[in-house]
Amino acid sequence: MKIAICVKYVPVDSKVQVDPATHALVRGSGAGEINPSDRYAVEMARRLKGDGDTLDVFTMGPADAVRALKVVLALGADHAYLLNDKAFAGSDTLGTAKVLAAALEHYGPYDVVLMGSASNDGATGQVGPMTAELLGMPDVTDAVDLRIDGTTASVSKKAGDALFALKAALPVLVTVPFGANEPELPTLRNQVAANQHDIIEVTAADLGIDPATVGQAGALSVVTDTMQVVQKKQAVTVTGTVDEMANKLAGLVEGQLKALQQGGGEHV
Amino acid sequence: MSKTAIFIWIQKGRATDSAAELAAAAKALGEPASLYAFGADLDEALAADLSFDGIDAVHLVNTPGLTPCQTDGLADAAAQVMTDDGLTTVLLEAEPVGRDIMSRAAVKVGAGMTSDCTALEVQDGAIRQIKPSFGAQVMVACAVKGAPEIITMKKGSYPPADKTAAVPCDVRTVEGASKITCGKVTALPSSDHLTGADVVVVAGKGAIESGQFEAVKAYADKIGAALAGSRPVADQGFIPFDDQIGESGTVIQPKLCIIFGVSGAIQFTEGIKGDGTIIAVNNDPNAPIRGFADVFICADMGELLIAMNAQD
Repeated sequence: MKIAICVKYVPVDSKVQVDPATHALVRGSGAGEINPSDRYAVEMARRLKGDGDTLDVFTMGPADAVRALKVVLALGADHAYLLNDKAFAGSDTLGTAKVLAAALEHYGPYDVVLMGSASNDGATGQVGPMTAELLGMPDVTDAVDLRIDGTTASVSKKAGDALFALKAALPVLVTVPFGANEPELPTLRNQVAANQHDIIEVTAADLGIDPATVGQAGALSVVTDTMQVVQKKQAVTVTGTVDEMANKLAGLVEGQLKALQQGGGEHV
Repeated sequence: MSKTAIFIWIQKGRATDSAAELAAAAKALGEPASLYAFGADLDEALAADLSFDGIDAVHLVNTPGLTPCQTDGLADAAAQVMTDDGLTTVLLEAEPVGRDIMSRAAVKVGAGMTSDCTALEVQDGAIRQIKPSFGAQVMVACAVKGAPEIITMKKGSYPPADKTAAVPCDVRTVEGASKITCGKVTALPSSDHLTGADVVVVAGKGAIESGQFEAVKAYADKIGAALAGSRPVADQGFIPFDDQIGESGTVIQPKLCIIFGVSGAIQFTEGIKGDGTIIAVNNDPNAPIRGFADVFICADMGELLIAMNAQD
């Protein structure tokens, strides 16, 4: 069985600025990490991988995104692909899905493709289902458990306050939400070894992608404008010693709670 | 000619309350919209429940044998309806079922798709799709190049539209093929304790960085408040993901909200709606949360919480 996992390298620091001219996000410190929900998808992939199975990891992003690949290599991935091309920059969700789908087709076919349910930064949750559609696979989002029996995947999907037991014919794409399992961390020994592992760099030309269909050029959903947010309120500031502030806060909260009990609510 | 539509998926024979909010969002675009409800065995009687100000027709789309988990088949049906009826703009709620189905449909019909919008405006004939930016104190306006476009709307962005007299309704059947089969459904304990809560205490990154998460939790227990957190608090596993407040999490409308150690980025503040009283505790006098709160306490939360939790 061939298993693929797609991960995103996201900024650790959420303090970003928006370039007033291009409306692009300007990442602050540049430090990144593997997207939180992707760690649960990696864990699911790791548990799924049996003797004779291969596990390949893909990421689309800048050269720095190699760091995310190395974490997954240390957790047992066999091959790591960095999808890195100027033409990919500025992709919308559909553009990202096109690049991932082209790579998965080129290096596949895969029986199971896993991703995190949503990224920490964009958080659209669209890339998984779009990639599945492009690959002609069914998709199951928010899967918390996955077992493969022959050519059938048994998936437990969390939706609202319920678990749905689903079966899907392989190949299938599954997205995994934050908190689905308890991800293993790489051991130091495995991480040191993974850091020496080959990373396969892949460009648009390698995948036969027309640059006009992806990235900024191909994006259908674009940011046209940014607006500073003017917060409307002028907060009353409580000052004093710690005890004075605690008393003031307690008085405020008590008053509000009392008003709520009497129905309504009192606006300070 | 533009043709705006609202898509909803009927589950257990009931319409979600998103239909009325989406009708209000559509009305902001200035032209009447038609509402498409997808489901199995839909009855024309449903049209009366779906007639809102801003809606000029209700189309019931029966998708025999398909349940909301069969997103591949439902995407077939949604794409076919978009093509058959020449829809140029589709609005839906930003929730997991519709997002999955319409992401697939967007590929099929070549539509641009924008997520989690909080307001819509028309400018020079195009729809400006407003949403909070990631991590920055700005809102961004998005637009889709060409047609069709698919827009998901964050729940709670528009007050629900009023009901009207029943509008014209038709029923059609659209087939879709799915490679997924659905089995047993197991109920989980409800995680819905936040959305209806009157009093919510929120722990932010400042609370975990200063080791005060447990003290914040104790304070919430003490005053009988629901406990929630900002994104970093959920990311680090201090609270379940469902209890994360913000643009990418749960939206709450508490009457009283006490926030410890949250800087107040727009992605967070978009998760608190209504006109309840907001009290913020932060050790940074310039934290943006100050402009969002009614009462601001500039203090070290550790000392303050010790005093608060010690009170009778």
